[in-house]
Amino acid sequence: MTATLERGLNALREQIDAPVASFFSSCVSCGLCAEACLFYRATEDPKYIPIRKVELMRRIWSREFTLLGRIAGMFGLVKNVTDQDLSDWETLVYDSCTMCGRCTLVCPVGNDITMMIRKMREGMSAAGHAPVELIGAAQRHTDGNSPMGDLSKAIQAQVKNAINETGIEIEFDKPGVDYMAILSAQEIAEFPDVLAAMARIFKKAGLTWTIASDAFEATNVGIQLGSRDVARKLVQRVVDAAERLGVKGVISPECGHAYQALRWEGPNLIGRAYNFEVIHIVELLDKLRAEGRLKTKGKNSQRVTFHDPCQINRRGGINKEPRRLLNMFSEDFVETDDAGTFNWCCGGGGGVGANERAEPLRHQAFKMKKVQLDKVEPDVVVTMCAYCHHTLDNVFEEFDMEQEIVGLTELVAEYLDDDDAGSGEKA
Amino acid sequence: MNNEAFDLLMWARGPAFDIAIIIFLGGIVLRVVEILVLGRKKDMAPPKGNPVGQGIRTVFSRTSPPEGLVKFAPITYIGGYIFHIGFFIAFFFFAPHIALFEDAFGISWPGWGRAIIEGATALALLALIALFYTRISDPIRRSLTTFDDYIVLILSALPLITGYVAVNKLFGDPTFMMALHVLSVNALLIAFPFTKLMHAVTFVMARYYNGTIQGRKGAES
Amino acid sequence: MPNKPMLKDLMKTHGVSRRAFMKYCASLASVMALSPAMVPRIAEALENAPRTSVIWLSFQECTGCTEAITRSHAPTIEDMIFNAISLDYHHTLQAASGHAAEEAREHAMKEHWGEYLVVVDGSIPIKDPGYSTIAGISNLDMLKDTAAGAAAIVSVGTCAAYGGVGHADPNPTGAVAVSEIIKDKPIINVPGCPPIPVVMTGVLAHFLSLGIPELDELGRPKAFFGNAIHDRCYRRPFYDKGLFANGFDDEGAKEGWCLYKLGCKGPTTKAACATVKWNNGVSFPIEAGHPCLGCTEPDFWDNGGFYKPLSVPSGDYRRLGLAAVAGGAAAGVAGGLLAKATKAKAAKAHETVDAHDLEKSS
Repeated sequence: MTATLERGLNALREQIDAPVASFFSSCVSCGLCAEACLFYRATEDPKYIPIRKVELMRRIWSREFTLLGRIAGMFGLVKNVTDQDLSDWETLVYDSCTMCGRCTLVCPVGNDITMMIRKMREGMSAAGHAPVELIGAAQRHTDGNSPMGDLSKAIQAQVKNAINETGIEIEFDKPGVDYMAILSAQEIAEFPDVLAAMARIFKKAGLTWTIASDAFEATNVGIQLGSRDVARKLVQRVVDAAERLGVKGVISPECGHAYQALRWEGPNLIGRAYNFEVIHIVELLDKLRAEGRLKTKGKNSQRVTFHDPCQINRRGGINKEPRRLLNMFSEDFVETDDAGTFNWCCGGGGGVGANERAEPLRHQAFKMKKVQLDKVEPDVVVTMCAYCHHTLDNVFEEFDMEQEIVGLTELVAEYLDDDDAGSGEKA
Repeated sequence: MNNEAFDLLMWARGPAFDIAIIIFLGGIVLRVVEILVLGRKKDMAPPKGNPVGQGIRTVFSRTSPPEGLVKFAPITYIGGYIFHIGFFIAFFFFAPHIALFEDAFGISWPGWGRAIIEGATALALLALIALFYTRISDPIRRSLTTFDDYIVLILSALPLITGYVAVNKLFGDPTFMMALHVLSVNALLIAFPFTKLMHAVTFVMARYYNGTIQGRKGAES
Repeated sequence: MPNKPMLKDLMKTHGVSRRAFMKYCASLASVMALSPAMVPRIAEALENAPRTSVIWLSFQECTGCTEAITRSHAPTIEDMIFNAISLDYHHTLQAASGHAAEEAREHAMKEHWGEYLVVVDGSIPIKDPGYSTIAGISNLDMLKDTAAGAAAIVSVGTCAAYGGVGHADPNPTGAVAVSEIIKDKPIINVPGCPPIPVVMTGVLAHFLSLGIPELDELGRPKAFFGNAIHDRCYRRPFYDKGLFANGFDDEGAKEGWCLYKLGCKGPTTKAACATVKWNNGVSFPIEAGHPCLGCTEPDFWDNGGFYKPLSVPSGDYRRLGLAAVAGGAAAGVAGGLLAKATKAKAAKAHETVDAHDLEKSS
């Protein structure tokens, strides 16, 4: 089977629903979405106005989903979407949008442009206009076990390291435990310390957990690519493993789109609710904190700021939790301008980071985040998404920025009060 | 012998208005029902927040501007607010207009004084001029603006101009200007379902959907 | 013409003092909004003018105009008759009847051919001339005959000026205004139902002293029909403040607020009611608590209802609107189903793709 224009147009048609129709009906081309957009603000190039990026879908909606548009189409007033159009839009849809969701938040008529970009990508990918890197990642992940290739040996090794480091047992494929943890490829490859951190925190909190040897990968390139079929396949792996092991919940790791994929898109992809709950690691840590099962000792005197990952805060609703955790041990926690729901994207989300073609634009777009950080001059930037972490690492190097970047779970574990005998299970 | 101005007024508020209201109501209902029939799939993800509640809340809350963004598009924001508020005051609080609602729906409310109505009208017009200017001068607005946008701007301005002229007898026969005023409203009504004027109805749906999508995740909207 | 008595002489005969005459001229100037400097000119013109013969024709009418003019206070019709005109024919007011009356008309016409003034009240039925006749003569014939030798015609009342109630929908008699029939004579329209008496006498006086007054596009003397009632109405400040009566017995009505919402046609009606008023300047309809009907305007009977505000649509828009909602809903369902079919077709054509199916074959 091969990607064709017709396949792409059909995929777009499948995506159009009442919200999309109401959004297109409501747009007054005020252009305020541009003021919110990372890529427009960094470049001031009108081609990056968010609503323009979904223009092709608007045309299909107008021409095929409205009576008036059908009539206008008969008179040639609405243009057909051609393969050339899709080709022209490819960089707009994949390179200049991280699906960060700021436009969705500022649109005065309430258009969820981000959601429409997600839908646009369904058509683009089915028509063969997705970036090669994302397609490659999808192939590696569906054929193997991770977008980076085969990481099964890596995860085994990293778990072994964590056990050695902490002296706490982490068992693979253990049925009946509280939670099944999944990890982003970035964590396994670049930031494996999170395993030890989780082991210590969960141990202290008296929580049992496991990792499935056949479904340890949390990322889902199908979401970024815009292919429900690919996304479904990858979600299904996690769901199958979790239901086979009979866990109460799955811990979504520090990864933005993985949280969207498993918690919010997943049930819709597989067509049913799960038999387990999905909880983000930071949500879980905050819950343990509230229950008194997570305690810290010592204080961090460094100047710390927090980078909100778009998919976890703005698009995911986890806003206060990381701040409550940080305030447990931070003496000098400063918020940047626009922190929280309106935080600026790191520039690497939504598959943009994997897209080599987009690198110059991504670096340009980092300007907005840089302005935020330069103003508060932190020693440490804490975040809760391994991909933000990865992206910031790269751009910091590019821009000669000295700040340290650290994942929240790791940082919490650093201040974990291991001596407190008041709670948790005995070692 | 006929008073042509009055005959025009009678035509404008008679047959022409009848045609306009048929197109206006029929068109709006057509477009709204079309959207609703299209529907959306039930969301299978267990909600973290309250989708419906937040959807309804967003319909109202999205009226206020996002913090810090006004300074990047001051004409669009401030002009937009002044135009909408001015237009609404002139439309809903001028007693002759209230008489129309009373006739149509049997409900009425006290009208406001001429100074307020005319002030609101003048401000709304000035705002429209500013919005027109920003469509021409600002690169974002210019690149997004289509023929439709200009039509909408002009059609929104005409009732304000003709109404102001008719009430103040600035020029022309007042009865004739009143006829032009009603005709300009008819034009606005007729264009409504076919242009971006539809946003005045569908924004409720768009904001609601946005609120439910974000609300399900417990995210702000 | 030696047998035509001059007004000066007549005044002497009737014992009218110079002082009373000047007062009369001044009041004339005042109702016509002429400058006081015009008073001597009016006096001179009237004094030196021969008494003009006036033939008053009453067609499809209610006698309301005549009733009104006999109640004129300044100048009174008596003043006019004695001082300025010779009313040679008027059904209601003349003593003669039958053939004698018609003879009087014919006599006056012959005597003053080309100089007499014709005043008409009432509309003329043209569907069937038999609908209204006088002494066996149809209104149409009588008007044509009489108008032939007239110096000018004054159409008094809305019926003569614009067709009035007779012309109102469905106009069973085919009633028309004088101006529809007579095209070759100057016509002064003095509409109103009835017109303000002082306006009628004022227009006559103007004609006698200064000739045909300046007229608007509807043939009305601008001196009396130049302004909309709304602009001269003493209730106008309430309109401007947004204070309205919503019923005939509510607080607003008692407070004397604006009657716009009760259907007042003041904004579109040009007449002197709000300034000259009626009955010696005592009152006018709006002052009496009733909205203006717009009776000085053509087709005022059919202008969307007396009690319907001007801003309210005059058609059957509510029923049509409901029908449009139903029609729109049906079309919307149809459109929505078509859209859903498009979507379903696309979904049916969907073949599950694999990560290896995302590239174009080259």
